[in-house]
Amino acid sequence: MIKRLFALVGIIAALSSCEVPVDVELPHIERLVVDGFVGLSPEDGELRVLRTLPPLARVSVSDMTVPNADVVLEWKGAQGGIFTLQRNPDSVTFALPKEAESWEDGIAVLRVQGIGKTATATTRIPGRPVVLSTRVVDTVSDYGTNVTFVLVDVEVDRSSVIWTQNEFWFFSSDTRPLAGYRQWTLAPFDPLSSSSRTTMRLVVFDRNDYSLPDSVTITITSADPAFERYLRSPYGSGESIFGFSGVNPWFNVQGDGLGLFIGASSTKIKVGLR
Amino acid sequence: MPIVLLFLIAACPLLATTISGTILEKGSKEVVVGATVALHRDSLVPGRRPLRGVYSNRYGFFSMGNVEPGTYAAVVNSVGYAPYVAAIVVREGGDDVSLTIELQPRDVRSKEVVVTADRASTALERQSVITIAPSFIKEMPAIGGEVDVFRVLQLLPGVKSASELSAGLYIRGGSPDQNLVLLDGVTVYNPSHLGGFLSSFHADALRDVKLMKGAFPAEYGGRLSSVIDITMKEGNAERIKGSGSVSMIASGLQIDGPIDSTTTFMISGRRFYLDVLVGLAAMTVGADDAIPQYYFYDLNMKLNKRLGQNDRLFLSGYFGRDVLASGPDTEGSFDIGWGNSTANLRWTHIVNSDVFTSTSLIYTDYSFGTELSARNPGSGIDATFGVRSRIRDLTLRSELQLSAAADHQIKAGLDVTRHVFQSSVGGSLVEIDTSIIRADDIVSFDAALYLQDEWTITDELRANLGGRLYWFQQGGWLRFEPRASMSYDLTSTSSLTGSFAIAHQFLHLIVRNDVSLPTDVWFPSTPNIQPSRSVQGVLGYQKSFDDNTWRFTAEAYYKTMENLYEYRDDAEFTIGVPLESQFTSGSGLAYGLELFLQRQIGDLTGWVGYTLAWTERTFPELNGGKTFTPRYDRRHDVSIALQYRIGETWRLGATWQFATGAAYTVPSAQYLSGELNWGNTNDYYTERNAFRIAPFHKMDVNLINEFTMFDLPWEFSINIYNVYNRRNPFALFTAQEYDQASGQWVRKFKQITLFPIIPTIGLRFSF
Repeated sequence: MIKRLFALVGIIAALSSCEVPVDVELPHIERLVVDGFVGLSPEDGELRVLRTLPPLARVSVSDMTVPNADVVLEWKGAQGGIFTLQRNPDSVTFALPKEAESWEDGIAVLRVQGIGKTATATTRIPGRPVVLSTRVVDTVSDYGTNVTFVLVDVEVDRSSVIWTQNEFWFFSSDTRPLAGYRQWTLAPFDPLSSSSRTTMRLVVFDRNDYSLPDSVTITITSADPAFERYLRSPYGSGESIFGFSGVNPWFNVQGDGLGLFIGASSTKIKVGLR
Repeated sequence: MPIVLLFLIAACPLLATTISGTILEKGSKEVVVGATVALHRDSLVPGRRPLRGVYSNRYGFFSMGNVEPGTYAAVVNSVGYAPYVAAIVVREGGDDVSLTIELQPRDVRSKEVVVTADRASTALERQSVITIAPSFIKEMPAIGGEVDVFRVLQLLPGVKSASELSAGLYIRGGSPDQNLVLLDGVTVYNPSHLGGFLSSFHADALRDVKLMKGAFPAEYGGRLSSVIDITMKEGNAERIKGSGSVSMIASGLQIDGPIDSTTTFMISGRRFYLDVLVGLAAMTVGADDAIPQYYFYDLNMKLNKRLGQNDRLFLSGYFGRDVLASGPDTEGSFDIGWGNSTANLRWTHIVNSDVFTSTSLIYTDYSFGTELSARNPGSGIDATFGVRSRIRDLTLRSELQLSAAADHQIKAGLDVTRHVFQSSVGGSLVEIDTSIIRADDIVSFDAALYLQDEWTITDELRANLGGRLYWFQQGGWLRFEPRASMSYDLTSTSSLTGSFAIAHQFLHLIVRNDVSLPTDVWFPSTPNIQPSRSVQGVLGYQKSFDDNTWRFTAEAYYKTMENLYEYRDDAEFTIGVPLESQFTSGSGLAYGLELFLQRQIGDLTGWVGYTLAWTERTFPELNGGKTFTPRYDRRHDVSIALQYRIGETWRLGATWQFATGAAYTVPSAQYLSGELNWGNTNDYYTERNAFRIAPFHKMDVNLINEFTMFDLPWEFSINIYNVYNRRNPFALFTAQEYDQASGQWVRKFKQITLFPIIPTIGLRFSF
């Protein structure tokens, strides 16, 4: 009898906590969501404008579009030119001006208006990275995945390169920056080194049919230091070992918006493997 | 060190007649702490102020120096005791007067108070100070029937809890590590069981609980916010006595008594047995392998030896341990344990009627460890995470109390402590990476020297002026802390008070402010980790009514804090990275108003407290550098605690609490990044703790019946926690649920409630 009583008490204690759905007015402040890279080639540079949804809303891209958004890009002040961007047929991206492909070493200012909100961002487009030399270290073919891994040392002028892509980027079939820029990684610089040049060891993937290609193409990209700040900023969705954290990444879009607008310049180099 | 103290003694002039003595409890011969001794000229006249007043120290000793010849009436008062009046004649050129006063325990209904600052004789001592008798604590409602010191302290204005689960004390905007918790003068680093659910202190073993909420005098130091000074029983000198208690979650036993004519002892133990109950329950449902094992125990002991008329020797100790481990048949495992061991060997010596000294050798050992691991079913490789923290202190302390002149009570002291710190955080969070941070042992000495003077400037104006000098070896930090408090009696029943204090803290508990998981690490100041610093001021007003039946207190406080530390948001635990590089520093601000109305006498006793408070933190590397509130910030806080005696054998205790909802971080929007598909949805969060969850409120009641069985007095109690079954939020999260009606997944906001209405029973006896 005593044993049963203790068991009952234990069960009550174990089940005493509970979880219930609650109706809470979560504080949604609608914002514009702006993501863009300017200064890259036409296929890489792009600009996307969306808006946020309430935290409990069902997510759909159509609900996130911003009808009648006005997007204006200013290059090097008024003397560089003011461009009103045109919306693409997908209704969420905007075409960057053709001239932007050749922009280097100057300030670009973005202003987005829509749904009664205004978001702005300022970025510097850096000079193109200077590649001093390349050296293939090793190649390994993985016949299971039809991929050749190429280990390449790329020596660059360390003052010109802020970041580069990691291996996942190269492995992706989609090379647009907006597809997964959070996964880009910083170039492995030694901050204490006073040398004007540094070597990055990159792992490059190349799809092939069981044969080593003659060469691989590597893209080395410089970006506004704001991108480094973004990549270094902590963020958490609440699933870390510490429990719920809820930290937003750092963004450079200001005003009624969030997101990244980054000036970047790329250099593509072909590295021979044979 | 003794040389310093002797120098202080020698520096004082030889004075006229001194009245000194020791105050004991009649029967048990235990010392009475904080009893007031008021000296009246010739005879007692109602309404007339006493000529002089002092109170007994933690050893029951008091002293009034430089008393002029004449006839006096000394009136001694203390909690739960009948007033004692003695006629004293001081003759011209006569000897000093030495008294041993025995106070008769008395029923609280007729006169005395159960929770009060009344023992401190003046408004000066009452300022920001509240003393609670363990007998009162034992009659308050308690979850599971297990009474808890800290949960009663949480009912006082200015004292808050982080959550319903926590017995941690957040006092005037400070975090629990900013509280100096002393058990018989020994620092207890983590005074909690069950992850903070219960405090480490077994109420049956306690003699006295004193809370100083801020701007404390110079004799205390090493923490920024407050002091909780707990004294253990010394042991009955006349016969073996004891008490036992059985609640739904723990049982305890306490015994004290004489060993011989000069030696007494006290020993008490408590064992939490939810592990046994849950184990039995699990056997019933057939899932015993998956249920975590948890238990704690604590053991208090004290020996008290009289070495003649003027010398006493004390040996006290505390040992407590918590063990929480996963069941044997789980894929992921955890093993969390922490515990305190303390020992204090103390010698007190009455040098003469004016001078009292105390010398202690103290050892403290606090250890904490968390080991988490998860097994990848595919690879069979464990990913682990571990935190370990240990502090061992060896302290030599010497204190002196001196009645230097008629209007001056001087205290001085010197502490020298050797700390040994061990901290490590690390693990292998990916299958091929084994990364461990292990900070080498840090050994550091610190020393503190203090001097304070309790000065009666006029009949109406009193002050406690002092200073504390701190030196900490790691980093070579040297800090001075001025302390000052004053009181001015407007009338015989009302006073104005004010105080100012600067305090430093050289030991930092590094916590994640946003979570309560056991990742906390104690870390000392180093050349890179500056000492924390607080500057605080308090203004107050005190008023008593109806012959001290009621007392009202209002206090406003303002406190700034610098060099507070937390983990960075992007804290990483990789090989070669020093642990202290993972910390970030910031500042804090706390201010507020506390109102406290208490009824002290009669069948109905208790209080109503209200706090209006603001608490803020600013860390350049957290929350984008913007100021945020800690989770425990509460704008409004109301607490009511009442006890009512019904006839001769029944007692009713009730509490009600209300607090503004905790500050919380929640998603405020959803946005897409990367590819435009549902899987790339991100939450955009409010600023840190910018959202308020629902207010917290609940009522608890406790009904006690006294009866006799087997010729022993027994108490049977019925305890109801959360009487009206308020669903108070403990945590919030979002989850996806499948909606049958629409056939779609729907995101919902969910709340975890810890404790619904919980009735429990308890049994207590004494002999």
